[in-house]
Amino acid sequence: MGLLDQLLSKLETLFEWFIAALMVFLLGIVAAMLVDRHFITLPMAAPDQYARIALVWICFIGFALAIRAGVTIRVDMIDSRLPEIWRLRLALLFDVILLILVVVLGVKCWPVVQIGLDQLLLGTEIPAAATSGSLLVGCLLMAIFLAARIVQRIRGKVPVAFAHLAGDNIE
Amino acid sequence: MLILLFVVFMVALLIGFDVGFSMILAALLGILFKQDSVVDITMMPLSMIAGVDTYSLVQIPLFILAGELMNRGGLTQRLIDWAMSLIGQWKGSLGHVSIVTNFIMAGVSGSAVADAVATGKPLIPAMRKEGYGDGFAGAVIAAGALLGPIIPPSIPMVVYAQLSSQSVVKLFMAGVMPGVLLALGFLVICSIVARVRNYPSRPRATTSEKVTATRRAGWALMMPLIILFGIRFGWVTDTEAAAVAALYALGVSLFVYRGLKIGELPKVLGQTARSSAVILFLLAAAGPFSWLVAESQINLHVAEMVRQYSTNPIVVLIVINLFLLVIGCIIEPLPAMIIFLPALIPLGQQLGIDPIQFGAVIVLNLMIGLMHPPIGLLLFVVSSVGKISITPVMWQSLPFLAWALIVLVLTIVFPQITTWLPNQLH
Repeated sequence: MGLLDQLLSKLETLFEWFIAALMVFLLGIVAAMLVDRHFITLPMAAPDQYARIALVWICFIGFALAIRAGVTIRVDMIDSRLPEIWRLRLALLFDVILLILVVVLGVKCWPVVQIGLDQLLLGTEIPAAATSGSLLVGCLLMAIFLAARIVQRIRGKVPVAFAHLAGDNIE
Repeated sequence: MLILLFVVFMVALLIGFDVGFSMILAALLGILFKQDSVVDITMMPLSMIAGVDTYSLVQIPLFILAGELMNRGGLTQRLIDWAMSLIGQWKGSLGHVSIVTNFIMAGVSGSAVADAVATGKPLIPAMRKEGYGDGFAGAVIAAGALLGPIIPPSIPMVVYAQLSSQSVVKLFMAGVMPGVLLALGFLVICSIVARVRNYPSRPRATTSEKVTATRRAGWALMMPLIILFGIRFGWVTDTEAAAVAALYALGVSLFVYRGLKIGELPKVLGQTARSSAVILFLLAAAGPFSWLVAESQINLHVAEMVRQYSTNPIVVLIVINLFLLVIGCIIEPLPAMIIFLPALIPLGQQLGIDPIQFGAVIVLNLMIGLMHPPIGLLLFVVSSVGKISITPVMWQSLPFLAWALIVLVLTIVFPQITTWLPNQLH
């Protein structure tokens, strides 16, 4: 395994632990709200805001990890019937377009984060940037994974297809 | 120009570009080439974040977690054993067991694919061993799993509620009767097929065996009841019900059934978060895409087009359903909901269709797409899990598919099927 692969793998593991911890937090905060309503009053202000922050971080970081694993949702009706070489080219083209979109989103998210630093989430002392920052970090992570995959594709080290629909606990 | 962007979007979608980013790409191009006024691209990240920054969506990862824990913790296997002890003596009982087990699991997980994997792994090989035939074994599991997103809790219902600003609880309740109708019809189909093909039955379980199986499955059987009654009687909100279900499944898996080890938890949590993110990102991408839909006034065009045929709500619902059944041949249910609902929901409202009935009908319709070719995801899942060819599964699915379509027509013609139970809520 090359140095790049090792670094990416470590980054992936780190963020997997991060979103696993966020899941625990989410579960805890919703359960605490139930306890607070029925049993004991807990010293919590606006717990739903904390749950929402965790949710947006799970969304954007989790999606970056899904991109890394190649398990995002796509329709493969046509490209699964294309010759191998065309699928390779198409996959490379898609990754380049994705990278451009992710960079545009990340750049345009930066002013939102900056403005959010001066605003507080309702009922908390937390800046609104805690929410918008999730998209910025998510875009950064997506950009790293996509750039690495493009390099690997050019070197011919990545299989043609993404796995089809592995965000599969959906419907 | 904006119509052209929709064409670009559909092409991107069909040639295999990521669904969420297809929506983002279309919205970005719409902003860049908008001629009459200037919109800053900063609108995109803002509307993406707003698309998921909603408390009611918290239940999506929590229900997925509950289902995942249930499958890994041994709760599913106990439900199968329990159903077997009760109806194992029926002719072709493994088919019935598949439907009953999925029916109960549907009351917890809300995910068709997870249910198909969980029940397909033990039951497809068992059915093949008893001579049911590959196609029927796969088809009955696919049909049973279809109940997952119809019977509450249901992730597609949560998504519909988010897109249409309707009550999640009412939508959950709207799915109960169609789900029961589907399950009853599927059981009848299993009985008919079993008699015609002379499938074997098993020895009748003794009373003590039934009691033992019920006791062993007791914890698992309690789960759907806790969720349904908890929500129905207002003890928990829909989101809290998801947390209770996940904590309950965690406790039972770790300390009662001991099918799950603590060391496995980080992996389960990480995978759950990633699966949830794939759904949530679609909702984020739907933020800017909804702007494009509103700007292009495509909903008005669609409404006008449909109105030219009829203003009768039932006729309109049938037209919409035919359209969605075709769409279901190309696009999977959740993306289809997110792409087309911003245009279809206002149409339903304008024609006075009950939004709860509209939601239940649309979810049922799109879930049927999970079972019909060419991209019926459940067909692929069961053929992969059972290591069987997809073609016989497709053929054997036809009676189940036909019944699902009949239930769909019934829910269109008789709104009470979907609205009676939600209307009992106060």
